[in-house]
Amino acid sequence: MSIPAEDALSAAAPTPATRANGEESIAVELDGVTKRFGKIAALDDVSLLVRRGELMTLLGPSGCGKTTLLNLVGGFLMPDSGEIAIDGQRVTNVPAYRREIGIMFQNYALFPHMNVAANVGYGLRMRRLAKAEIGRRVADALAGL
Amino acid sequence: MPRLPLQWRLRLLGGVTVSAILGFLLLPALVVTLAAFNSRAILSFPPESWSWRWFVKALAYNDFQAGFRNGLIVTGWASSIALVVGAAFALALDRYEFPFKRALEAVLLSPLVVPHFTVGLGFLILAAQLGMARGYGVIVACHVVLVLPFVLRSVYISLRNLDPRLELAAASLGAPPHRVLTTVTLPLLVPGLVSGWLFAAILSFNEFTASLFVTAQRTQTLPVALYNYVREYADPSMAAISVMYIVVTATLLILANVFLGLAKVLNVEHPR
Repeated sequence: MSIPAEDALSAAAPTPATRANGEESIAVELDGVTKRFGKIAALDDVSLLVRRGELMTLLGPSGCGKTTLLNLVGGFLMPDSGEIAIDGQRVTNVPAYRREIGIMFQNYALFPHMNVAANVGYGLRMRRLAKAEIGRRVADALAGL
Repeated sequence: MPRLPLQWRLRLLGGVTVSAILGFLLLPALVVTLAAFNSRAILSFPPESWSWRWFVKALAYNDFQAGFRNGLIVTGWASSIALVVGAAFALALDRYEFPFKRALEAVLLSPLVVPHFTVGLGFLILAAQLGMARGYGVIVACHVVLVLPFVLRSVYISLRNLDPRLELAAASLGAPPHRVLTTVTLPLLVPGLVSGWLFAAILSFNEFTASLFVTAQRTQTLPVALYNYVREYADPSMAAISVMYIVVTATLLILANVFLGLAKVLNVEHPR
C-alpha cells in the first residue's frame, strides 16, 4: 500500500463526488457506491479518494470486489447507487469509451488479430488521428522499449 | 507367447476399433468411386473395365447442368441469409438475457430434430396457401430454416471463445460500441462466420428431402435432378456425379481446415 488508506477513506466519506468539482488534486473519487449482482452486494456503500500522482493498491481475497470496483471506475459496469468522479467530473453514467482513462488488464488483453503497431495505435485510431501522426507516435512509443 | 502389457493390448484394441469405424464410414464412398469408373452401363461392382465416360456424360447432361446452376443460386442466397440471421441470433443469445431465451434457442435449433420432409411439406403448404409460385423464394426460405442451426452453433461457439476483456479494452481505448463490433468482435469471429457459412453452403447444396417438396421442374436443385434421373435410368452417371460431389466437398473442407482451423472453430481444442 503506497497511500494511507484510512486517510483516503476518511477524507472521501464526508465529501460528495459532486463537490470535488474544481479540486485539481483529486483524480478519482467514489462516493457511496453500491453494486449488486443478484442478491450479492459486490460493493456496499464504498467511498474512496485517490489524489493525483498517488499510487493506490487494493488488497483483498478473491471475490471481495476489487475487480468490480475497477470495472466501475473503467465504466464497464454502472453502479446501482452512488457517484463516481474522475478529474472532478461526474462520470457515473458516462460509458467506458468516453471516460478517457486507461485500463491495464491482468492478461494484457492484446488484440490477437492485429500486429504490434496496430495494437499500440488502436486508441489513436479510435480518436481518428491522421495515419501519419499515428505512425509517428507508435514508432515513438515503441522506440522507448 | 508372453502376455503383452495391458497398456499395449488396449492400444492395439483402440487402433483396430478406430480403423474399423473409419473403414465403415469410407466404404460407401469407395464403392461409389469405383463404380463411377466402370465402363459398362450398369451400376455394378466391382467394375470390369475402366473409363471416364460417365463423368463426360454427367457433365453434358442438361438437367444436371441446370440443377447445378439452380443449386448454386439457392445455396448462395440461403447460406448468406442464414449467416446474417444466425450471427445476429448468436450474438443476442450470447450477450443478452431476455424472457423466453431458452424457448427461442430451442425453436432456432429445432430443424435439427424435425424431419426435413416435414419442413419441406410445411413450406409447400404455406407457399400454396400464400399463392406463391414455386419459385426460388420458397426454396431459399426453406433452406435458410434448415441450415440456420449450423450457422448459429458455429458463431455461438466462436463468441464463447472470444475473450470479453478484448472488447472492454477496446472500449476503454475510446472505441464506441459500433467500432468495437467492426474492429474487434467481427474480425475475431471471422473463422466462425466463414465455417458457419461453409457448413450451411455444403448442407444446402446437398439437401434433398425438403428440396423435393419445394422445387419444381424449372427450379430443381442437383440432388433432386439426380433423384429424377435415377428413377428413369440406372447408369454410373450417378456415381460419377457423386464422386465429383465428394471431391468438391472434401476440397472445401480441407481448405477450410488449412486456412481457418476447423478444430479451433469446432471448439475441440483450447476450450475457455
